[in-house]
Amino acid sequence: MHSCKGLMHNGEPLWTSVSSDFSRHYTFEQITSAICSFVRGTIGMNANLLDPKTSVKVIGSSGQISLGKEYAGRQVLIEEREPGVWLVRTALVIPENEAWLHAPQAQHDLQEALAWAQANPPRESDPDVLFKELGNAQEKRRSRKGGSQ
Amino acid sequence: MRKKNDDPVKVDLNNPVFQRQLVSLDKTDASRVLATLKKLLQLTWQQVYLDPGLKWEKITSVPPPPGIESVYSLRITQARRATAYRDGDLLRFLTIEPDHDATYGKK
Repeated sequence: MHSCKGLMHNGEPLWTSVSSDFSRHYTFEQITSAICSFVRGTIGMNANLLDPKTSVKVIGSSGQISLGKEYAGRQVLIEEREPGVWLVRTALVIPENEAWLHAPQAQHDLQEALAWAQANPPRESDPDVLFKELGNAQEKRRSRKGGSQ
Repeated sequence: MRKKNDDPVKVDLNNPVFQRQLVSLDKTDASRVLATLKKLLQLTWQQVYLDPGLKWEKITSVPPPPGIESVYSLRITQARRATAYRDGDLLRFLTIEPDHDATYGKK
């Protein structure tokens, strides 16, 4: 737990740098409580960055290190910040010729189609029969529309 | 599931998304799709993989869901690509989308 007691700003307790107009509407306790919550939240968010997991890995004879089985097959972005210092981040690389697949509608259609395929067993189709059926269904819809007008 | 590349291709066109997109095509495009499907039925899997007109490509940017090994795209008409995957001898069609590269004359 991080204590907010003793927080200083420009050599003064932090709360004194809050404008007097602001303090007229809020009590001292409300202001310090809000500041403490903000500080705790910020520290909490950065906890992983401030306290990274460190492990020692040996680079193999072909220049490889392992990141763990859970990352097998994943793509990563490797940034060499300076000689001997790398930042490795998991990344999704979209080849240029697959960009069309990531348009919102195409992505939505593909996910819907995959979900259906997973839930339904495969069944062989005859293209001629399917086209006839779909054509007939369209004809019926058109004649129904025409009849209702 | 048995997979032999010299077996003839069979197709599964039952996916409602594929069918919905198929009926939205104009007659010319729809008959081109039918021609490609009939062509596919004349080929073995090995021939599909190598056919220059079909441009069979593995999709690497969309992780397949459990139970599906890989999703592929193939050119189903001059201006459209289909997505599909192999399940044994069946080619299960998923979607039909405009081929933007073809539309803008990149290919």
